[in-house]
Parts: sequence; structure tokens; C-alpha cells
Amino acid sequence: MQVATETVPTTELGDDWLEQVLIEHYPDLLRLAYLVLHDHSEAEDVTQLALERAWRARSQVRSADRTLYWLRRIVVREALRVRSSPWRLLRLPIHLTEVDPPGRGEGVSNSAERLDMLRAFDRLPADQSAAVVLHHYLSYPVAEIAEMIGVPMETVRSRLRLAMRRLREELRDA
Amino acid sequence: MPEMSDEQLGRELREGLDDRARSVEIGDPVARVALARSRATRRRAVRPTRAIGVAAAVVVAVASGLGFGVWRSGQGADLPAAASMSASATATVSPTETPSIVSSPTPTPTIALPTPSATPLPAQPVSPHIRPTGSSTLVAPVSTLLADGRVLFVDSWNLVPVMGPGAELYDSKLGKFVTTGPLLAGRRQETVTGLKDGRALVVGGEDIDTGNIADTEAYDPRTGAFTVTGAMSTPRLEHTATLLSDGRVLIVGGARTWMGDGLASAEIYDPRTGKFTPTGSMSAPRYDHTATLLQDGRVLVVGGASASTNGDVGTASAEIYDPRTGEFTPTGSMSVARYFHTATLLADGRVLVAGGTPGGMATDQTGGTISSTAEVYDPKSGTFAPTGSMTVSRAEHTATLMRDGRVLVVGGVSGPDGARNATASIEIYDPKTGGFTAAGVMASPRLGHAATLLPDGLVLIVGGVHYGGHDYIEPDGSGGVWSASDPAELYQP
Repeated sequence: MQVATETVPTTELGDDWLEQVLIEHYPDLLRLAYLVLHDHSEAEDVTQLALERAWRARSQVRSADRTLYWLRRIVVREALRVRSSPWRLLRLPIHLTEVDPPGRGEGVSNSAERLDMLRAFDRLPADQSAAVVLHHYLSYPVAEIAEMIGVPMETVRSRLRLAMRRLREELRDA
Repeated sequence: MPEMSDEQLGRELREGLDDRARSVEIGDPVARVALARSRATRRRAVRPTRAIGVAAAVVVAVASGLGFGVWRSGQGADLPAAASMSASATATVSPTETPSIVSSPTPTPTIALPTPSATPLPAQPVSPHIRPTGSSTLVAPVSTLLADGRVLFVDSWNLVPVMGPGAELYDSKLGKFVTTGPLLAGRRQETVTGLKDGRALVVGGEDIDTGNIADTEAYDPRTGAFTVTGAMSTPRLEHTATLLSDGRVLIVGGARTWMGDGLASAEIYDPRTGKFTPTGSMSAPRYDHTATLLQDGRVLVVGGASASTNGDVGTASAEIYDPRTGEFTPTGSMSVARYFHTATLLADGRVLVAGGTPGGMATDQTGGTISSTAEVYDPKSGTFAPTGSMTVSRAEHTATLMRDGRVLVVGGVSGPDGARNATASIEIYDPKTGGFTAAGVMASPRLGHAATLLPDGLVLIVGGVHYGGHDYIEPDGSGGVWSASDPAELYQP
């Protein structure tokens, strides 16, 4: 049973501590949202939502070492929720074109193959792109991804399989 | 290019995604966290945008050849002074320059997107049948008419910003919203149903704080309080709740979690005992479907979606629940799959089904096309027949039977792939002619709003969102691009 927002018990580790942790992890969380959603402003909105949600649920934080996992879990769930919510009808297809976001570092590979792969990745449905990001980029094992998203392990495996198959098909056709 | 092994592909992905991650503009983490902290902890008062909006509302009666007045409400923090002060019979608004939805560091996408103007005013005069009424703090509510004639609203949707547990009552006599409750648990994608004993039942939905399915609550208008009541056998969200002739409430379908597969199960709440009991199951799982009480006491369940590897996929199937047997039986199918559609009981006992989407996100992630088609179900024959199409495509709209037998269709999301937005348009279905007629616009586009027939015959339209304007007021003046539509409006037939 929930009580009014103002009386939600604070995290045992302190509100100010959590605020600092959120600030420190913000870039990681925004990047995660962006990789899953392929859209910068949507990623910002979702990350903002996730921060609010994290704050409201802050009494759940029990140990400092799992905090990043907990925060990423909130971000991924919010990102997927936005994509699977009624709002998905409004998701305008942001197809990546030749234009890449600014601020790219030096020494970055801009090969045609890399761009083809990223374009293929952008065409994945959000639940598949989330699985790919969590597994291949953040190196979470399937069991942890399942817990993070709240689906069975077999669902995660099948999303990964489908994603890889689709990526390979699109790259072959490119 | 040669086929890559899993390891190679994985490595390419890791490097490509790493490049992309590094390219992200971070902005100001300190400000964003501070904003989140303040929004998450403050009381849900009227937000600055609304306060400005209501203060800037200008009711203008213009003597014109047509003899109707033009009303518009200010929305968004940066309402241009010119727009709010000028008043003309035609009230046209010029669109701003090149549309761009992304914040400044990111280049403009190469496809045309809806204009996120700070003042999403309709480009045509507001319908003379529409007038503003009180202001609500709820963003995307669900509503139910209570036995005492007032309307109970709770927020229901998965939206930006995070919703609260707020509840409000609308009183036609006062013409305004008053705070009541609040809910013990704020939630999204729940249902609210007025009971014959005067109370209301709030079922399911995802608790906005814990992420679990929230407990069922009962609202008593005499005390203005919500209390926990019996628990469902299968807690769920995105289900339907239908008041049966005998006063019990039928809960159908939905999903266990927001990402879960659909449920085929159903259960019945008995207000006298405060308990849920499982009943028969459907032939297929569904969420985002409709359930409509027929004149003979049976319930028609239409369409809905279930999860697939390509996102949600809709169904054209329908089934009928018979409370006397406690069983579902398949009935005729629609001509197309639909979810996020509406189903409205007509005066002659048939059911009008309109709009929605067939789903199947596939690779375009847009949720499929939005339909303008409609069909009518006849319980006597157990079949659907096509009827006239709507003047615009709609999903997540509302369709409300009015006293005169016509159906008022309001808002929703409309438009083709790549040019979608909430719509302010209204249209009316006339069962006698079997056709839809455009009926002007509201003052605000709305998606996710609630429309309720009041005892006096007016239709109350509350909440919803539209794309454009500012909802977050950031320290640097920028903000998200979704705005809540307020104040509420009344349609007078």
C-alpha cells in the first residue's frame, strides 16, 4: 500500500548521497536510453522520467554497489515502456540518414559497413535493440537481462537470436 | 559483405554502439537531477504551464456574419503575446518555420515532422458547440459517472511526466473539478468503474512507484476516500472492466506486466462481498481491446492486441461473454484487426466499432497504420457489417453515445506514418444515415483524454496530451515536447 509521495521513506544511504550518484551516472543512463531508442530527444525525456521514478522509489536502494544496475534497470524499463505504450503510435520513424550526431571523437571508424550495421540496428524493434545493447554493449548475461526487463530468460535469448539474424540479413542485403 | 560470425558481429556492434554512445550530448546532469528530485517530491499542484494557460484564456465573442464566438486557451510557457491578444472571427494561426522536434545540438532529421509549436492552437475556429469548463490537473485520465451524477477521474496513463495518485470529481452544477482521494497507489493503465451502490472500483494497473500491479481500490464519494478491496486472482493492466446488469463487474484480458503477453482470463468482482472470482476464459489473449455491455446483458469483446516478436499485433476476432453461463463464445469477426479502437452501444442495440490500428510494428516502429474505417456489430445476426468511414483516421480516441442517439467522436492520434499527432477534430456518427460528419475542432488536440456523457446531456472532455509546447520547465528554458491539454471542454449537442 502506497502512502503519499512526501512520506516515502528515504534511502538508508541518504538522499544527498543518491542525488550525487544520479548526477554521476546520468551520462551512462542517457547513453543507454539513446542506444535503445535511437532518438536523442526521446532518450532525454525517458531518462528524465527514469530519474523521477528512481527518486520516488529510492527506498528500494539498499546497497551502493548495485545502484548502477538498479538505475539502468529503471531506464531500460522506462525506454521499453514508452515504446510499448499507447504512445508508440506517435513514434515517428526517425530513420538514420547520412547525418550523424555531432561531437564524434577522433579515430572513429566511419566505414560504410559500420554505418550499414548501425542502420540495420536502428531498424530493430525496441525490445530487440534493448537486448542487444544490454548483452553485446554492456555485457550483461542473459539471466540478468531477464531480471532487468522482467521477462523470462528464453524471451531474452529469442530476442537476441532474432536481432542477430535480422542484422545479418540486412547486412547481407546492403 | 561476407557473412559475419556471431563473435565478429558482436564485436562490430560493441564498437559501433560505443561510437554512438560517445556522440551523445550530455547536457546538464546537475540541473536534470535537481528537476527530477523536485518534481518527484512536490505535491501535485497546478503546474506553471496550466496556471499560465488558464490565466491567459481569452473568451472572445466576436460579432461576425456567422455569429459565433471564438475561444482559445493559452498553452505553454512561452505563449506569444500576439496570438493571445489578437482576436478575429477566423482565428487562423500561421505555422512556424521549418519543423524540428529535436533539441538544438542534434541536426534536423531529413523527414518532415509535425510542428512542435509552443502554442498548438487549432487552425480553424473552435466549434460553437464547445466551451471550456474547469481545469483539471490530471494528464490522461479514465473516468466513470457516479450514481450521484458526478464524475470521478483518476490518472491512468504511461506518460511524461510521472503521474501521481491524484483523483478528482467533476460536478456539473459547479462546472469545476475538485480534488478527492487520493488513490492509495498511483497507477497507470488501470480501469475505473462506477458501481450501482454509489461507489467506484479502481482495478489493476501498474503501480507507478513499485512497478508491480497495484491493489484494487474502492472509492466512496460520501467519505471521498479510497480503500483497498479484494484482490484479483490474476493482477493485470490494460484490461477492461464492465458493469454487468446485476451490479457485478466483469474484468477481461489485459496483461500481467506492461511487457507481458496478453491474458485470456477473466474474473468477476462482486461489490457485495468485495471479492473477485475467476470466470470463463476467452479463446485468445487480448489487451487494449474493448468490452461493451449489450442490451441483453451479455458482453461483446472486440479486437485487442497480443505480443509478438514484432511488437503488438492486433486481432479482428470478437467474442461474447454470457454472465448466465460464465462463458465466452466466439462471434463474427471484424473486417480488419483493431486495437486502440472504440466500441459504442447504439440505441438500437448494435455496436459501433471505429478506428484503431492493426499493429504489427515490424521494423518501422510506428505501430502500423491508423484506421478511419468503422463497422457495426449486430447482436441478432452475430456479425459485423461495414458502415461509413470517419473523416479522419483515429486511434486512442473516444466515441460517446449522446442522448439523441448520435455518437460524438473526439480526438485521438491521427495521420499517416511520419505525420502523426493528436487531433483536435471532432466528428459525429448518425446511425440513421450510417455516416460520419466532421463537427469542427476543440480548443486543444487530445490523445488519451476521457469523454463522459453527463446527466444533463453534455459531453465532458478532459485531459489528454498533444505534441508541442512545453511540459517540463527546464532551468535553461528548454523542455520536453509533450503538453497536457487543459482546461476541460464541454460539448453541447
